[in-house]
Amino acid sequence: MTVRINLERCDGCGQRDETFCGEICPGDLLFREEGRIRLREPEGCWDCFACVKVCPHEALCIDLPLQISQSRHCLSALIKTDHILWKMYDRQGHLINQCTIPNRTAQAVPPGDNDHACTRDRGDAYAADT
Amino acid sequence: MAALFAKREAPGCPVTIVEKAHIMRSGCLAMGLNAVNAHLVSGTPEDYLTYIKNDNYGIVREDLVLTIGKRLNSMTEEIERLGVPFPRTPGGNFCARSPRSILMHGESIKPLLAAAVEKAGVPVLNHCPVLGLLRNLHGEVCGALAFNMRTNEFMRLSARAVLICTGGATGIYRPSSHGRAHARTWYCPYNAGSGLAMGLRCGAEMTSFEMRFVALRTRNAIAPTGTLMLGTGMRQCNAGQQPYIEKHEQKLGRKLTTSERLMSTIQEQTHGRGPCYIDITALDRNGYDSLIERYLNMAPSIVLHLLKDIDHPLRRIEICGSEPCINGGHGMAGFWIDTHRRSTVTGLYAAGDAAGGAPKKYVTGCFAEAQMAVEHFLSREAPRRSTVPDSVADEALEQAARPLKLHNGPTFAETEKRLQDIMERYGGGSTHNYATSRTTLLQARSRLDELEQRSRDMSAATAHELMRTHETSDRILLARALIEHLLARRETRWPCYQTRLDYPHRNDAEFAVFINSRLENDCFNLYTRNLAPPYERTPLENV
Repeated sequence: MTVRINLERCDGCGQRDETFCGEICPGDLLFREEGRIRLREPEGCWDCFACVKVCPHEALCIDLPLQISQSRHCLSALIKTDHILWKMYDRQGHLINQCTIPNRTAQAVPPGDNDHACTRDRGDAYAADT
Repeated sequence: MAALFAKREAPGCPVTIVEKAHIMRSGCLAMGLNAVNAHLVSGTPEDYLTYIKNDNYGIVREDLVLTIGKRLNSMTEEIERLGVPFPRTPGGNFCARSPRSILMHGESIKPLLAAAVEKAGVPVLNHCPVLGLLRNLHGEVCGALAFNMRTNEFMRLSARAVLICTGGATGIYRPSSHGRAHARTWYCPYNAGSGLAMGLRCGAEMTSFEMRFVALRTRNAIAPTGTLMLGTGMRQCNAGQQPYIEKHEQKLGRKLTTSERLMSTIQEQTHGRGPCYIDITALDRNGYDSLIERYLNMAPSIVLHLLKDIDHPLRRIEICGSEPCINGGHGMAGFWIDTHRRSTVTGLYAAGDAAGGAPKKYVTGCFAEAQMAVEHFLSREAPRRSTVPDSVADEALEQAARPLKLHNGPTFAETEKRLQDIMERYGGGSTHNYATSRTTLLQARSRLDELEQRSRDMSAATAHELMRTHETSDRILLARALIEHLLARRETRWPCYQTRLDYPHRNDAEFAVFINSRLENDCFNLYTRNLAPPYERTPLENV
């Protein structure tokens, strides 16, 4: 299991002291180097999706190594105000399935909530997708 | 949750959460949770105790289980109050999947809890792993040494009491997947059992490490099987499509215990009838969709397996046992505590997966224990304790920072792999069907002692490596304790969790007791404790 990073979408969270994904990873595995995200111990990922869910740019997804899965499909999650939209892509990046699950994350505060600029950014990202 | 309870009971009470990651997604619940597995849909707390006692072959702390049982349903209310949605029946009741389990849309349980903590104004030290507890000259815990991973500063924290909620320990045994999937363990791989190791180092008594917990999980993705079986009514089958659980139940004339369900699966495999599966062919489209949804709430990566090919979704899901771990929320390994959740060291409380004696407490039980610890702390005038002498704190700091000063020592990664290899081969790992014997355990003991010596030279160059180095040391200490416990129980009490090939039967005459341990002068002293209060303690010798 490992995080797949879409470097075209990842902007390294701009001026933030730390990226959203780096701050949230329970294993302290993601860090920023030269403005881009890197994985410190690729074999250390639990595929908990914390980073995928917190990324405002949908730049991250989780794929399974061939070793344990033939499909190499990958899964991303987008947290909206009252539900989560899960999307599954095939190897070529085509959307093959999606699923909506009720949620109430609107009440939850993103990490570094005192960082108003980033909170606003996140809000915008959601709004653009709604 | 403990901090929230404290703020509610006594708003002026200064309470700080010290967390090694970020409280929004740290630990076991990072992925979320799709059910509350300890909620009394029907039955009394006494019925809950009876179930747990039977499932655990008589060895449980009845007082702990009962005090938990009385609070379970109020903890479900607490979770709902955080904002976690619960599906309801048309009559407005929770959707029950068993007499003790209800469905929940719990993907966001951690972010919602973190939001409540924020709202309550509780200070949180994120990214600050605690590296050790500090004790004053009376031996009372009155603070902790932490390391801020973002500023690279060590911190000395003072406290009138410390509550350990660090969970159990995984990474002691080799995970079932390798390479890039190395961390695809059942229990959170970032739970290194640091709280337990800290407790051992300051002389706290631990209980029942030998009752390891092994979960029955889906192969590869290691997703919960309860979601399949409790949620859908599907059955476990062997390779010949025969349901084997029922066969065993008919023979025994009773329901199988949790560990017997695992053992029967292992037996099918060892008798040449494996691999075993859960057959979901009978699921209709709605059932299948709701299964996908429940998995996305808790273990999303299994969905990549289930929907391997969208036109031909997987119909049989292979199951296996996970790697063993030490855990007080499913199993019973952890701190030896009283009903107020006090450990045997003054000033130190333990709750949740770090606290032993009460298996199957799950999330609601963990929260209940946090509440009991907080209530006890607030119920009396907190004594003003003498502080830690500077010399003691300085020495602790020097020890904690040592890996940063060393160069070219073993890395945490190779040390951890070595630990996992030793435990897998000689400590009853999954590839050995979880079985142990005196001879293999003695091998494990001597190899672990060597590894422990070697690991003292581990070096670290970055903050992350320093944390991982400490975690590896903690895991080695716990592995050593675990081996002593496994050696001490000369019977087979819980199949797979604790199997001794040299003592294959249960021996109630001698071993209907708790096995406890304390670390004194870097040696483990083992004790037995009676099953009933006052839990009389007898030293065990020559194990």
